[in-house]
Amino acid sequence: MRDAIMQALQAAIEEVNETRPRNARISTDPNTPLIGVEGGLDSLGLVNFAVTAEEQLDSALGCSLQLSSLIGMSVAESPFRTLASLADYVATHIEVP
Amino acid sequence: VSAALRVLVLSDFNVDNLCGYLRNDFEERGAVVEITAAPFGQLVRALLDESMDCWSTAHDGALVWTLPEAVVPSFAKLLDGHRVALEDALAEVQSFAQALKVAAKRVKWMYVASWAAPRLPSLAFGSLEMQPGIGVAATLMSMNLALCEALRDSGVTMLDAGRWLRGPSAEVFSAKRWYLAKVPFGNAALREAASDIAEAIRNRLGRARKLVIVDLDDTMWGGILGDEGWENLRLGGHDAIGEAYVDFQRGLAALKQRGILLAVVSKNTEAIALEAMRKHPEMVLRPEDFVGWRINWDDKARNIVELVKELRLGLDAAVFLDDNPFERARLAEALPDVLVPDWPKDPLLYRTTLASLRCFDAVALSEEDQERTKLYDQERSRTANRDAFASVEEWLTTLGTVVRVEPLDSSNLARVAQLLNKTNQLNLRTRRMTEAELSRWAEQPGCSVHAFHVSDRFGAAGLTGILGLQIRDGVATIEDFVLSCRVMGRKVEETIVHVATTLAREGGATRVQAEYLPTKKNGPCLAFWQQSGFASEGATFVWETVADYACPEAVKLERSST
Repeated sequence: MRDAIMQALQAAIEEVNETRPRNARISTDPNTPLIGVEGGLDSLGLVNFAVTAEEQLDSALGCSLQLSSLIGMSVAESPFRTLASLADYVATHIEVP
Repeated sequence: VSAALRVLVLSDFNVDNLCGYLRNDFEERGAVVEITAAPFGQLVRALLDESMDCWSTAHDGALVWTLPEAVVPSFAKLLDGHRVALEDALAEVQSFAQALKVAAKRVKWMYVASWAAPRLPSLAFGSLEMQPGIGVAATLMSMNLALCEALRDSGVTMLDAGRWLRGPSAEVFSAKRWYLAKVPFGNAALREAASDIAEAIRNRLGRARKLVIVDLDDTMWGGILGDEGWENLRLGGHDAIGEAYVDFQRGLAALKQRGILLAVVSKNTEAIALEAMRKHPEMVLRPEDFVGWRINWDDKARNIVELVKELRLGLDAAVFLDDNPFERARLAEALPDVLVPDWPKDPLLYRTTLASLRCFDAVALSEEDQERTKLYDQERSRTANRDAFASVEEWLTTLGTVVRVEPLDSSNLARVAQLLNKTNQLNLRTRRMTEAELSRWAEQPGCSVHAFHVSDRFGAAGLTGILGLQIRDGVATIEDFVLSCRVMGRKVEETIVHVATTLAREGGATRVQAEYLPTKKNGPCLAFWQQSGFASEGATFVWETVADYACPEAVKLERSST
C-alpha cells in the first residue's frame, strides 16, 4: 500500500512540475525536502501540490484525505517535509472504502 | 518564435499556474517568451491605469481572462438569486469592453477569454436557466455576444474559453484551489487553456500551419486499395467505420474551405489511387481538392520535401496525417519541422482528433484564404505552361501579368496587415504590426504603405505585395518589402522596386535604401536584393534615383491613387 501511495504522490509532483520552470522542478526522490528553507515549494506551489496529491490519491486508491487542511502547520510538524514523510502520514490516516 | 516576446496576463484570479503552463509550452518549442502576471486583485485598475507597475515594461501582447461575476456586477447579483435587468448587465459589459480597448492601445495585440461559466454553479433558477433575461446561462450568452460585438474591429480578439473548460463542472472548477489560492480552475483545464492560448499567440506571429498532407490507405479510407480495389474500400454506406471516414474527409474539406491546403503522400500506384478518388461514389474529396500529391513507392519524407518545395512553403507549414505509427515516427525523425500528430488506431476517432489540432487557427479569414486551392491550381497551370517555353523571360512575357498598386486605405488594411504578419520568405525586415499600428505608421509625415494586386491570364492572385516607404531628408528607406511566395519570381519583385524608386523621386529623395534584416526564413529576400541591381553596402542595398529603375517589360503596371 505504501508503494502505491508513494507513486500517487510522485505523480502529483510530476503534475505540479508542469507549471514550474525546468530548472526549478521538484525531484520525485522520497527524501527531497519539499518545504522550508531547502524545499522547492512556495505557498502556491504547496497548495497546488496538496490538492493535486488529494486528487491523485483519490484516483489511484479511491481514498479521500484532506491534505490541504495540513498546509498551515509549522515546517517541523508538517507531513509535507518530504514525500517520504507525507507517504507515512497518508499510510497511517488513509481510509480506503 | 526566435526573438524574446513579452506577454502580460491580466486577470481577477490567480494566474500563476496558467503562466507556468504557458512558459513551459513555449519553452518546449525553443521559444524565448516572458510571461508576466498583473496583480490579480486590481483588474480594472490595471486595464485603465498605465502608471501601474505591470505596464512599466513594454509588452508585445496581453491576455485578459476574467470570471464573469467579477467584472459584471449585475451578473453577480443574478447568481445570488436576484432578478436583474439584462440591459444593466449588458451596459456593464460595454464598460468592461471600453476598459479593454484602453489597455489594448498599450500592446500590439490583446486576447480576451470569453466567459464560459461562473465559478460557482448556478442554483437560482433551475429549469429557467435558458430563459432570456432571467436565466444565468442565457444571460451569460447575451453578455458574451455583447462583448464580441463591442470588441469587433477593435484589434482585440476573443478566445473561446468554452474549448478549455469542457467537462463536468467538478473537474473543470477546483473549489479547493479557489478557497486556498484563488485559482478557480483545476490543472487539466489550465493546461488545456495554456495550450490553446500559446497556439493562438504563435499563429499571430505567423506560425499557423497551412498544409495538411494525408496518407490514403486506412487514413483517408478504410482498407488497402491495391489489395481490395476501390469498390471494396470502407467509405460511407451503412457502416460505422465507413461513415467515420466520410466524416473525416468532410473535416478536411472544411479545413480547405478555411484556406488550408490539402495534399496526398501515399505508398500506392498513382493511377489506381486517382481512379479511386475519382470513381468512389462516397469520396468527399476529389483530386481537384488537393494542391498536389506524391503517390508512389518512394520514401514519404523525400516525397514531402519535394511536395512542400513545389508549393513554395516551408516544412514548418505542413502537418502529416498517417495511420501507420512507423511512418509517423520516420517522418517525425527525418523532418522535425513537420507536425506529425499522434493518430488514433480507431477510425471512429479520426474526425475528433482532426478537430483537436489547434495549429490551423488564423487571426483573420480573407476571401483569398477561402479560394487558396484555386489559386494553387492556377499556379500549377502556369508552371506546366512554363515548361513549354525556352526561357523564363519568354514565359513571363506570355503571362500578361498586371500589377495594380494602390495606397493603404480602409478597404485593404485588413488584408495588408494579414499579409505583413504571415509572410516570412520574401520579407525584407519582417515587421509585425497590427492594423492600427500599420495605419498609424502610414499616417506619419513622409511614410506611406502601398498594396500590390497581381493578376495574369490564368487568374487573379489578389493582394500579394506590400511596400512600406519612409522619405526623410532626401533619403527613401524601404521599411516593408513583402511578397507572397505565390507570385515570387514573376518580376513582381522588380515592379515593387520600380514603384519604390519612382515614389522616392516624386517625393524628392535622391537615394533609396533597403536594409535587409535576416531571419531564419527570409533568405530568398536577400537573394533577390543581391541581384536587384542596387549597390550593396553590407546588408543595405542602395539606388541613386538619378537613374531610372525600369519596370519589367513583362509586367503591366497600373497605379491607382485612391
